Amino acid sequence: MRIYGGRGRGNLGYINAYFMCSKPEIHDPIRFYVDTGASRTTIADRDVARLELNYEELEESEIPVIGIGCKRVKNYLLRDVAVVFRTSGGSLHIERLPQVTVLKHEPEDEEERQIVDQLPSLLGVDLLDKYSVRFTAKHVVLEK
Amino acid sequence: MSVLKTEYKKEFQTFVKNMRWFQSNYEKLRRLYAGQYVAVNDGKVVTHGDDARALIEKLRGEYGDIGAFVIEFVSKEKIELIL
Repeated sequence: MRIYGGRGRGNLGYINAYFMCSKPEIHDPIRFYVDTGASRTTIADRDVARLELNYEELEESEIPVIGIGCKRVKNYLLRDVAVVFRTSGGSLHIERLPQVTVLKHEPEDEEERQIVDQLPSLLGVDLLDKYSVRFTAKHVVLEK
Repeated sequence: MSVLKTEYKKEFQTFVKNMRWFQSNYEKLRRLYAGQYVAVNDGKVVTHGDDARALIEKLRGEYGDIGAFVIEFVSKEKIELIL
């Protein structure tokens, strides 16, 4: 089974997915960058705004995340999440994750906020380790 | 049972189509909207601006459900990202 993604900013690989969670209720598409350097699948600040997530309704994580400038970033958890991909054969494939991290950067100034808002959501090793990951000139491919 | 409800499947397909349009028109978008965020839907830029959150709010006010919209930053220059 193969899932094809594209090559986006900085030539990084990205994959479009449909993201679902029941509490809070989320069902929206997200573009995830493929990041074998990220421990966990992560929703970035801009997607938090796009998905209309309210941090106050989320469970705060006790495990620290290090972000821009090597600073600790507040992070929250979404539990029992489903991530749906379109396969090369045209069918939909669902992956379930026990938890996904939601980032809450606290930028010190406008310049930092602009940078934070450019950060993408990431597919981390918690999901990627179910696949072999390879890159072609135009694509990233997840395969299993 | 289907993995996704029909309405979600349709939203996902539109998002993928919008993302494809964004990627294949990126150089043109760079000439027009460098340093800004663009919102893409249905083969066109529906709005653009410097502030991602303001853009999202504006879109939500105008369209309601913006799940299928692609909202992305258009870099002035090629950028290296180390995540």
